[in-house]
Amino acid sequence: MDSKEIIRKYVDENKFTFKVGLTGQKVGAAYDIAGKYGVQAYPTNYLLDSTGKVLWRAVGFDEAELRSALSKAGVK
Amino acid sequence: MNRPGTLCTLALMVVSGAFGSGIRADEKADKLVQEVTAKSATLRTLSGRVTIFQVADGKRVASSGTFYLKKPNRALITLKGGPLAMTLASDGVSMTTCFGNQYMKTTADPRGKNINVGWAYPITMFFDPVGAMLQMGKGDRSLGATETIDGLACSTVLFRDGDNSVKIYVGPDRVLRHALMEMKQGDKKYSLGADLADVRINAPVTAAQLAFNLPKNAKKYEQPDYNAKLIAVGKFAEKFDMAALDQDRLTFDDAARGKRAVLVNFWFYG
Repeated sequence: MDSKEIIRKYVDENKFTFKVGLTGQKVGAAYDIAGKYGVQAYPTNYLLDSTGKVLWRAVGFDEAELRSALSKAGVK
Repeated sequence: MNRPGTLCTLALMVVSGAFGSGIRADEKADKLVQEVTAKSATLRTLSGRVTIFQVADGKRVASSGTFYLKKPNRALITLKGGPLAMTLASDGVSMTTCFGNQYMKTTADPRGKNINVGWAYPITMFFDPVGAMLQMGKGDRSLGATETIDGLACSTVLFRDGDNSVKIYVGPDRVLRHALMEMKQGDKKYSLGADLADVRINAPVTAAQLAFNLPKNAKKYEQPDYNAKLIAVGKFAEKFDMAALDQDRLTFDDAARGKRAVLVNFWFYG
């Protein structure tokens, strides 16, 4: 199994509905998106507005913190 | 004198969930687990040799050394050679963990619950049998065949949780000699194990055996600041255009179209 198949299986098993990009790859080229976003640990989350401006970001996962950022962004 | 009583009560709570299955082998496994937990409460010291190992993609790496454990919370565990080498020293007040020339210092737990090296369950079991059993015992448990470890006929119990399992090897004296964890990720199999040998039970563990000095060149480990390189709030992140799992590409513009915000979650698997 290559890494794409492993991830597909994981996504299917967990019934994830979000879109999944593959870091390190661009169509036909290497693309270090995680590096560009300064990611050094997983998970790292960013909340961006529709223009790409950073509204909030955090390393690790804290649901309450994320919900509060979403409500500040007027999403929920 | 309350402590052993407390431990037994908790141990019964741990195993009670598995009763009532009507399967004889499982009842035997539960009884053995109970005996191991009860025995652990009677141990005052434990010492001997220890090896921890991991096997990934058929490659085995291991580190070996000695351990001296004394209740309530004293320990010196030294693993040498290989990538798993480390030293853990608990003097009853503070606990020092050393990897190469880097060290970390934390407060010693009053009952030694933070004394563990890697996945060495037989060591965790000495200080915290209830916690160790809880870690292993999420899934079904069953009694396995008797196997010889370190010249002793050991009873085995297999804890199974989906694709993952933990097998413990219990000596005739009800002290753990070996633990083996097996995990699957995709089509890859990993195993992690810990072995005790030349185990001495309740033999004196002296101050000299527990004595530990930091290496002269030791440096305190500083945890990296994982926030340091993140893009600041209010700045603009690059609009990504990347390969995707279920379509040719995934772009920020597609994700943001008609939306107020986009959550970008960097995760790792595999």
